[in-house]
Amino acid sequence: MAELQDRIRVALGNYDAVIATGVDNFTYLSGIVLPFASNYPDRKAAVLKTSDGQEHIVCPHDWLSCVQEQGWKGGVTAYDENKGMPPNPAIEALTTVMSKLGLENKKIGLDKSKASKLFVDILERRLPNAKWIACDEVLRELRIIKTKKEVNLLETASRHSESGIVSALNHLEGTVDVPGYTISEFSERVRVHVFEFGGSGVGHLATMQGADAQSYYAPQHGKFRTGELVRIDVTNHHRGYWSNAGRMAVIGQPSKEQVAAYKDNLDLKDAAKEALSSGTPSKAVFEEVRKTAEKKRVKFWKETAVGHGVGVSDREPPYLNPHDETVLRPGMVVTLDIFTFGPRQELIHSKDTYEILEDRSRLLSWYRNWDQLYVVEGIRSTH
Amino acid sequence: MRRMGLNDLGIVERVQRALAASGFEAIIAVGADNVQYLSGARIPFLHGYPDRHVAVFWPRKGDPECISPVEWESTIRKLGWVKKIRSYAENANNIGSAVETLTNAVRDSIKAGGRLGLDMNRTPATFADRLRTSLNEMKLESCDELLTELRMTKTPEEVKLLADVSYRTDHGILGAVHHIIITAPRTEMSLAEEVRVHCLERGLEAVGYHSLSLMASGEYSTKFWPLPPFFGIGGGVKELKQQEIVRVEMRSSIDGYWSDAARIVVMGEPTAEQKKAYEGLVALRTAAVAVIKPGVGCNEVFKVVSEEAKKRGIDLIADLGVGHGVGVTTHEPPYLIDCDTTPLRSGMILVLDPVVRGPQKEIMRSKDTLLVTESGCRIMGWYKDWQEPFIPAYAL
Repeated sequence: MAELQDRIRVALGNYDAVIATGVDNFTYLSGIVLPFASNYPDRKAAVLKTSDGQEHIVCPHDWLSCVQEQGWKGGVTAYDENKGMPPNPAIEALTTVMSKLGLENKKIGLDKSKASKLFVDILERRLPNAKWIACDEVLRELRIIKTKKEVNLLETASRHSESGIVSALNHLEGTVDVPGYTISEFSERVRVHVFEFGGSGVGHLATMQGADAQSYYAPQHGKFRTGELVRIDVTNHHRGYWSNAGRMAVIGQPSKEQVAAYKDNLDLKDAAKEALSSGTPSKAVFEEVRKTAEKKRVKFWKETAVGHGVGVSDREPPYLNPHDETVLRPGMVVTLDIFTFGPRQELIHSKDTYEILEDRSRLLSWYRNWDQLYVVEGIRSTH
Repeated sequence: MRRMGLNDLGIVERVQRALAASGFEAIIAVGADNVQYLSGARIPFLHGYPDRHVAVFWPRKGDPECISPVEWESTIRKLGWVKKIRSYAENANNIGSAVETLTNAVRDSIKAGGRLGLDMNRTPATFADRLRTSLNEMKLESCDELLTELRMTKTPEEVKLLADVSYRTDHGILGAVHHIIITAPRTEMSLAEEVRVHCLERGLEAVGYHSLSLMASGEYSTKFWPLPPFFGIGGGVKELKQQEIVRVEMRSSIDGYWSDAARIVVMGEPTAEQKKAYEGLVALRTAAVAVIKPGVGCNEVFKVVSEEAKKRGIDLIADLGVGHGVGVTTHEPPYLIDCDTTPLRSGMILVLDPVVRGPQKEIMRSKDTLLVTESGCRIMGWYKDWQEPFIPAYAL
């Protein structure tokens, strides 16, 4: 990832140092993956990079080996959590490092859209002579264009999602009627297969059918029922680079209405896909979907975006919504995520991830052709 | 077990009382954990979407309200007890959209000049600054302390739920390790999966990054997180070996309330050194349990455990403290650390977690979930008696 580190160095050249505390920005700047960190809101890890090439991470004691074993070459301070109530120990460790590096009165970029207000206030009080500047926009611009290696990681993550979903479906086939297994077990099988195919972590994971599928998310419960549309959502990362996947299946042979509803969704996705090329504003992709939906009289969930970027997080700029003017450029990676409605108002989507090239886009989630609803049926043997 | 259509766990009344006594006209929570606590909507993916904001606005007079992206509106409505929801459509700037929607909610309920509480310890600085600008006629202050106080002491219904989830998790771990046969070893990865599956079988939810089981043996057990970034899947193809110490970890939930569990397995009759190391863990637990009661400071518990470790020559990893609260997150106040002087109160639930090094530098922990009672404390959730580690069957 030397190319990425070079890009970061150049882009952040206007600061004497940059600090990232957001889990996604932390991974981006350091190359170190701490995906569970967001679930510990009182425990903070931060990475500091100076314009003269020095790097330092502060983290809780039990995350230290994580950092070291992922190849971090810079300094690390594992802070003692007895030194104060959160977030003070992390801030004390960070400001101590900054003082040692002579940054007390320098220009410091900080990801203020991720760091908590309390964290920022204490930090600024501790080093009042530093010039603290939000660097979120700079990070956004940096992150939005991927290097070739980043695209490769995203492509691999996409493959893991698809392998996870398809393998879990393979296990489901033949087991639906007798005795059947639960939706939570199915979801777990998606996770297991993502891991078995080499994925390094799973984030959001949910399978919904029937009335549950009318909402974005419902807790996992019950068993699969014949005749239902099923939505399977999983986000997973490959060494910190995320895939955000969602696919549709049907239990038993689909009804005509289900087939038609699924086709409607694909028609809108085709329209969006056609618009995905360098030079197109993000909002134009949304507009293309809107126009197609109007022409074909397909109802879609127009209050949400029709897609978004993926990278070191599973949902990030650019956003394919009616307001985002970001112009698509080569190196961007976006996931198309268009919600339409099934016969029972189930939310249908079939997400695909694309790399934006000069004159077209390239499908990264190519593992399987999803032009048809995945039909789950079969007779149980010794599967 | 509770599922869809939650009752409010006694939280609504408690929040209303605290709010009435606080002097705030309203409080606003943006942190994912605080949003869940105040709304009841357990949205496991919320932590993972830093660019999308959900907030709970809770006026002293009137009903609480959620501010949410459109996409999550029906989820929040179905899962929580807050039924008033203002959703915002996707925009080029989601902080801007959320702040604008929140501002409208506040202005519809609160007169200018009112004191507004915000969870500053969770709200991103950019969000908080924009909200302050947008609501410049209000006095925006931190309400972190109020929320921490509220969340630290659980209602009887929360206690019941947390007792249930800790017991089921212990059961799940035991269910999985019962599959270990010393002379027919399996891989860490496969056993880590068994832990998750057995937890699911006992009705636990496995959601978010947190639902990570860990099976760490041999050299991997010397690390907190072996083989990063491959989290929660054990050491891949490594098989458990005879006489190894194995650390099994699992975090799981029911309705958004978490367990934080870890147990020790020894692959055979423990050696004298292994036995001594585990007895050290038991001694630290015993020392902590003896001192935990209402009125005792969290720091005093830390000191007692640290001194016991020193007295017995136990290699305690003290930088992590010796325990913490658990609730809508796996790790929350109060903290059993040297500087937390919070007095323990009846109704607090703690995960006692002194972490020690074993004879081969293994990281050994046997987390116990405790309820602080009127007169002391009670261990909750033991599926088996953890006076000794789990020792698997020798042969099939």
